[in-house]
Amino acid sequence: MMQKQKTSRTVALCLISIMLGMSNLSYSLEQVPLPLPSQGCSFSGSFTQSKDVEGFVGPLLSAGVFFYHCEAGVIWKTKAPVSQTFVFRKSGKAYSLQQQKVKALKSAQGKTLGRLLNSLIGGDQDQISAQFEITTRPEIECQEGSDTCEPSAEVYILEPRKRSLKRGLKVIELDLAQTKKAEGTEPSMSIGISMLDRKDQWTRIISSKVENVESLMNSDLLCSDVVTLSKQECALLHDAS
Amino acid sequence: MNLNNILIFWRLLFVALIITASVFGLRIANQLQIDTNLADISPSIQNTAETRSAIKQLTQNVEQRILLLVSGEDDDSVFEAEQQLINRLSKLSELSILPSSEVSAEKLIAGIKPFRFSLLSEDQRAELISSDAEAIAQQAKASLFGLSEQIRLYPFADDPLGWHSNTLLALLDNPSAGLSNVDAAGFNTVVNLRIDHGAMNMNVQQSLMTDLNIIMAEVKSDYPVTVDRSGVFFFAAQAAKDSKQDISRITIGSGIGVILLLLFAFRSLRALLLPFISIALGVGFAFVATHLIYGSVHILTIVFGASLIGIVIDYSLHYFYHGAQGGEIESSERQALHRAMLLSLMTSLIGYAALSFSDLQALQKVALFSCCGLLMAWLSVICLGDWALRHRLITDNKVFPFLVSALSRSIKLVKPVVWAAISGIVVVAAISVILSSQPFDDDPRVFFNASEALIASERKVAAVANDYEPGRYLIIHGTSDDDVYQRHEQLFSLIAESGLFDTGNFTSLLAWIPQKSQQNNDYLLQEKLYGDDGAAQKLLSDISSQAPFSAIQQAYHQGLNQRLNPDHVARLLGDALPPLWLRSKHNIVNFVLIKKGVNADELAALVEPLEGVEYVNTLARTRTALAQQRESATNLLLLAYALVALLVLVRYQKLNSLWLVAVPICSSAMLVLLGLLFSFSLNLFHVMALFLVLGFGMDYTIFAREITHRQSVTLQAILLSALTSLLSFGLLGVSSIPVVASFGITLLIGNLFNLLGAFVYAQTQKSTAQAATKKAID
Repeated sequence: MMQKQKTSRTVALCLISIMLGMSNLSYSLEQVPLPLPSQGCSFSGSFTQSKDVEGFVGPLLSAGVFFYHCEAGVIWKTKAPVSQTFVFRKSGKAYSLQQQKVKALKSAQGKTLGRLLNSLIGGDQDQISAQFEITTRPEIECQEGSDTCEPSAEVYILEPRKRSLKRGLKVIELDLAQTKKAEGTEPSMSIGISMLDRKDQWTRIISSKVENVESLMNSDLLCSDVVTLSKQECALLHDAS
Repeated sequence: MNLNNILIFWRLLFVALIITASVFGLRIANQLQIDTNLADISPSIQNTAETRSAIKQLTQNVEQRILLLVSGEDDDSVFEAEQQLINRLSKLSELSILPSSEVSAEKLIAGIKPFRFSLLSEDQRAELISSDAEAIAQQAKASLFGLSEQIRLYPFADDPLGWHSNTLLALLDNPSAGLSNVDAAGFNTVVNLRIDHGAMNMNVQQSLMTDLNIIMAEVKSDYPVTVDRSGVFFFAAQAAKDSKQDISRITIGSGIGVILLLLFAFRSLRALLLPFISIALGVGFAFVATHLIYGSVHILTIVFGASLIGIVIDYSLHYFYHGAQGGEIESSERQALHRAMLLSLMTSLIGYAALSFSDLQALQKVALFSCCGLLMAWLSVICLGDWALRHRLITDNKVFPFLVSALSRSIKLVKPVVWAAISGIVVVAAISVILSSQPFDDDPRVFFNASEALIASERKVAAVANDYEPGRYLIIHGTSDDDVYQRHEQLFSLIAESGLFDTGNFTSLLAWIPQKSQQNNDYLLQEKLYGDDGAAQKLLSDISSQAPFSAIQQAYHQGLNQRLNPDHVARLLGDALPPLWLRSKHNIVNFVLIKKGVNADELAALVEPLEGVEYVNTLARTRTALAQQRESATNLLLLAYALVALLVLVRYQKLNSLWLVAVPICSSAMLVLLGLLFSFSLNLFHVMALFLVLGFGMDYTIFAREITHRQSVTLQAILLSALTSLLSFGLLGVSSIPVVASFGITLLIGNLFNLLGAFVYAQTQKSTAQAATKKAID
């Protein structure tokens, strides 16, 4: 049975791809906790992404869907303007799928990306805290037609702790404004994630439409319920091959 | 030539040498250089001159390198500690801080940019052959817009497809490129340093070690971090420190011992004057001469030189003993004394000079140092002896006469023929031991004793940083680039196929610089990317980029003749890696470094069939060379004995005078037998010390033979000489440097039996003479 719920996690971590030589992190420090709502074992959603690339005029815009299962891993599928899927298994194996062609990701960066994506989408607060120094920055929001402006949202600043991470990624800004529960309503399902890499290139991702499902269900079954994912993509997540 | 004329000659020579040494001594006073390089005491490796030069460059580079590893549980602390460390180290004039691996990588990325069109990774070649331009363009587009693990090293305009970034990342990711550091638990950072000059110079080491220790202690005190060190420099500095302690201990210990002995024997401070003037002049002259010829003096030369104190004093002692009774030596006795001293000097010079036949430069220096010191000390006693005896000296008339008498009586209890038999048995037994059990150990580790803490620190750094074995590597020779490339490929294929080693543990420039023919092929393959209607054009058109296709296509055409070669990469890398690629007029040498901790024992056999590939294991080579040197030294020792025996035969014209030579032979034989008894193996330095045993033995027996007029006095002088020598060399025997200890133990044992042998010789000679006289009377 699937159950809608709000979470704010997902995404963001794409730009971790630029991290050079990320290694295992084995300790945690005192943190500002991220107010991430609890969630089930599996969920799916969609995202839009805006990316700056040095030497390219204008942002590169894309959109897609994702699926996460706490035991199997993550499927990250860009649908437009290109079709490309990444599958990051919990076991550490990673694949890309493009034009029906499956390619194993062997690079250290690919494996690092998969590891981080899994731990962060999976909401592993300890891992996030271990990797990032988390601080908050209140956003001032002015109501339309009103003279008063008041803090209505919070942006969480995630600064990499490890220098090897800092060399690739300067900061992640996590906008959790829309996860805040309004009085008597369910929280919004959107979250903004902005990442600034070492070349001062921004990647901004907005995730939305998150669905949460029971954790005990089979990942293959759950994955196949996400209409935008193909059998081949779902198979890659759990296939023993 | 009468005695007076000879004396005038010696005095003129003495003054001339003193003036010359003083002039040169003043000239080098401000540029004294004391070396501690252990390579000097290792035998030279047999290679071509060009390869030796390449090895020398590599060795010097490795000697100059220092790695400091800062580790901690908190990244910020490690970072700040590193900054403080770098800041403090940058103020040391002897050091240069080498760029970090990131900085080197950035430099490499920028430097390789013009050559990017002729480089491809293995996967990219396959992809270019199997995929069409449209697919490649779509893949690039996906990478641009979607999630990507790709790191873009070049701006979009220079690398729209992201293709070259991938090439370089694949190359940099290649462990054989040696540019990436090992990822370890906790937070670590490595500071690479180079000692700009004098890494193996003791003065520089002392000053630098003091500064480094202070800086590292401050950093450790200011931050919760540990600082570990790695580098040949630290081992050399430790060896130098140990040697310095040894010098102090030996000099102070033997100095005090000798002073007390002399005061006891002669009951006057005046008796110290001649011995110490002769020692000071001898050692000073030796130092200046050695420094003048070699440009520096090795620390071990000084350690051995300190042992001269036990030898040069002998001449003064004989002079005193024979002049002490009357204040003025009688003419006939003086003639006998001078004759004995000259003969003794000649035998010692023969013994010491034989050391110069060694291939070890340190021992050649010892030979020069010893011979010069001996000659000057001898001249000072000859020239200043009468002056020192202007006032009468009173010798000890109780202990030394008693000891001589007691020892002589004990010896007389055994018949001469029995002593002869014992001598024969000892020599035969020693020869049997040598032939049957080969009691030798040629392990080069006799050169130094590294501390456990230093080794542990070295291992810790090696586990985190990409550090290489300084004494083990592969050399690929060739006369052309193609030659070297071909052999390199054969080598890596062989290593991979063997399954014995991970190719990632071997670092070579050629591992990621394709051969020129391969680069030509790679350039042509990229026509699919940058040709008309190629992938780049398709991509730029598809995404409506403002970056013009013509620009990247023009850059591709400009790259037509741009081929990356190892010389260029070596220049780009600069100090980031040791000089792995060296080109001379007729020869190219490419080094393949081996990561520390890799057991490469089977590598020598593996690469044996490959032409132009050589596995260099300095430790194994040194062991072999030491064994060869030991055998050669043994032959030289036999030659020295033959020459001394010849000298003795010429001087005395009697066959039985060879008993003089039998004394040091038996003493040497006793070393072998005691080695068996106390389970210590003999090495090259035991054999080298046996040259000095020969010198001492001849010294004692010649005086016993030459000055029979007052034999008891002669024997007292020999006893006192032997005691001073035993004191000096006994202290060498407890040195922390195994090689020095070997030297000391040999001389301790050898001289003890030399003393016994000299007494036996004196007594048996006396008995034989008495028997002959009795027979003549009867």
